[in-house]
Amino acid sequence: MSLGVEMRERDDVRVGLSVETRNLTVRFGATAAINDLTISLEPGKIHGLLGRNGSGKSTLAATFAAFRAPTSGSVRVGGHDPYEHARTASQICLIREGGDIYDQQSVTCALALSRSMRPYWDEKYAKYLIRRFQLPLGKKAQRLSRGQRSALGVTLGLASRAPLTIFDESYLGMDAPSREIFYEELLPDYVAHPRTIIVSTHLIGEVASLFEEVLVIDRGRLVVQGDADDLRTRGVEVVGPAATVDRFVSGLTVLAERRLGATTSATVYGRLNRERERDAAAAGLSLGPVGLQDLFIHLTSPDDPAIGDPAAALPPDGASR
Amino acid sequence: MTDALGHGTTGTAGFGRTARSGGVDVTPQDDSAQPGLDVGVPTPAPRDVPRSVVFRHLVQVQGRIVGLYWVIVVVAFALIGAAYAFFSRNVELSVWDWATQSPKYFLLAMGTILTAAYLPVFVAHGVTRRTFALMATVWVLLVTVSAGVIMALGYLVEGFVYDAAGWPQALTSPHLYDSAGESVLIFTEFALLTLGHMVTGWLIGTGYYRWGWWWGTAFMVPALLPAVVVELALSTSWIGELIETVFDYSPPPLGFGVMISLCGAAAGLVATFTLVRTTPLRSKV
Repeated sequence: MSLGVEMRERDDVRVGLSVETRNLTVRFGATAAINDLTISLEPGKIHGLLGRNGSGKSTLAATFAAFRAPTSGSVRVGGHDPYEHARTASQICLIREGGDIYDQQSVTCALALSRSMRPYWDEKYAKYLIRRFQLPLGKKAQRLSRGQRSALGVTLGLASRAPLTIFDESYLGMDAPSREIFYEELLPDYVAHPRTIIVSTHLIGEVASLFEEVLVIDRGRLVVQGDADDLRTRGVEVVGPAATVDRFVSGLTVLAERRLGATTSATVYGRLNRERERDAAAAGLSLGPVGLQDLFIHLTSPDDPAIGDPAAALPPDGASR
Repeated sequence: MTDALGHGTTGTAGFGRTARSGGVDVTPQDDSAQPGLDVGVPTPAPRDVPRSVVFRHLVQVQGRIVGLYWVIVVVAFALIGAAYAFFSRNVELSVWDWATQSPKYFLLAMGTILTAAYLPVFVAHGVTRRTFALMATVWVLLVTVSAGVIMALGYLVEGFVYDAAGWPQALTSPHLYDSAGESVLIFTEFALLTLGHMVTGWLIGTGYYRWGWWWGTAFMVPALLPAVVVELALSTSWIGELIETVFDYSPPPLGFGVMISLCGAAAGLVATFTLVRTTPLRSKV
């Protein structure tokens, strides 16, 4: 049982808000940033929202947080349309890089603004984070470095304790030590104060271990969604003599293939049953795992013919395309 | 933790984290002073962001600028008046009457930044556009009523000084009022003029925020209507003088002019409210 489920079963703490979309489409002129997207995010979990630059992650996050209305379709956060729904809107915190704060005001003023508006604001925790990130309280936001500004945004997001907290590439400007502080803080704070957290990113390597659920979108459409551990088992790298590999992967969903001399490495989407694993061993092929980041790269590769229609790209579990 | 294919799922990039949310192996950092890890404490029920909080923040962020403007105007015209009294042999003109032009343009400028500067911050803090628009409307009314009061008080204070010195307080610009002592008419003129201009500024700024440079500029034409309607209805200052001279225009009676002005400003507020309610926040770059 995942920690998220354990937390959801507790009745003395709030557990976050669910998020659902139905046929959600968001257009910018002729371009569909989100295209007929239907998803459901369970409350009380850390979700990874993954996609390449321009895949629609920020637009989707903005729609969750009522920063913009859908062109068509619907969004439900905690069962309500968040757009202009005061009770729901006050429970959502979307942190875009640098945060949405007044440039002319100091860090202290930014904290005061959040303190007065965020119903679940934790002032002690905010001050603690300010110390950890070594942010200068008296400095105006416009004079903060990009990294400091990102750290301020992360501070506002974590200390808001909002039932739906979304970090949209919030930490990209931070240096490695500061990002590490963010990762260190996110998990214990989530455990102590369970809520729904969405981390939107295209830099998966550092944060992949935090995710319970993963949602991959590309060109505004769903590529894959599922339990993070489950996704990690969906990719297999098959390495061996080219002809043998070709025969072995025939009929499987091959996401990528590399050749080095007579050796071929093929990335296959899907689980191999025991019989196939025995076949591979008998044929002298080696099987290896594919990390979440590698799987993401393959799933969203523009070279992948399946990405011509991401929503229809993948069979449910590694079957032939 | 390892997956079915045998590769690890904990800790990445050499960070040495021992935690992942799907497992129970959570290791907070060493800092024992970390607050907030009070698992199980009941949390407050959800609530809307109070409108009073939104209004207070609007007053704090824009009130400072508006307050500074009035301090500068009062000090500047006090100094001009002192210089006029010192260097002129015959003081007979109201110096405060010269201060009647800038407030409406200043408040138009303040209106232009209302949406662009404040809407994203408020919405990002869980405030609905409706609440923002309502509280910004209250703020606009407060600022413009204050402008009317300050202008009337300025004439009164100047009148005391001129009376004490035995100077006439002649007005040179066309107004709804003929003398500096007609405080109600002074208040009416400046409250309405500044209201029309600030609403126009808010509408222009919202248009630019929503549609960008080209369509925002095109939208300026209808957005100017509240200010134009008030100017035509009251027909004061150099604009009224110009319109009356060039177009042989006769302004409506005072009561009717006030009604038209109020309707023009109200229509502008309704248009702004409607736009703000449906305006998406711009992406951050």
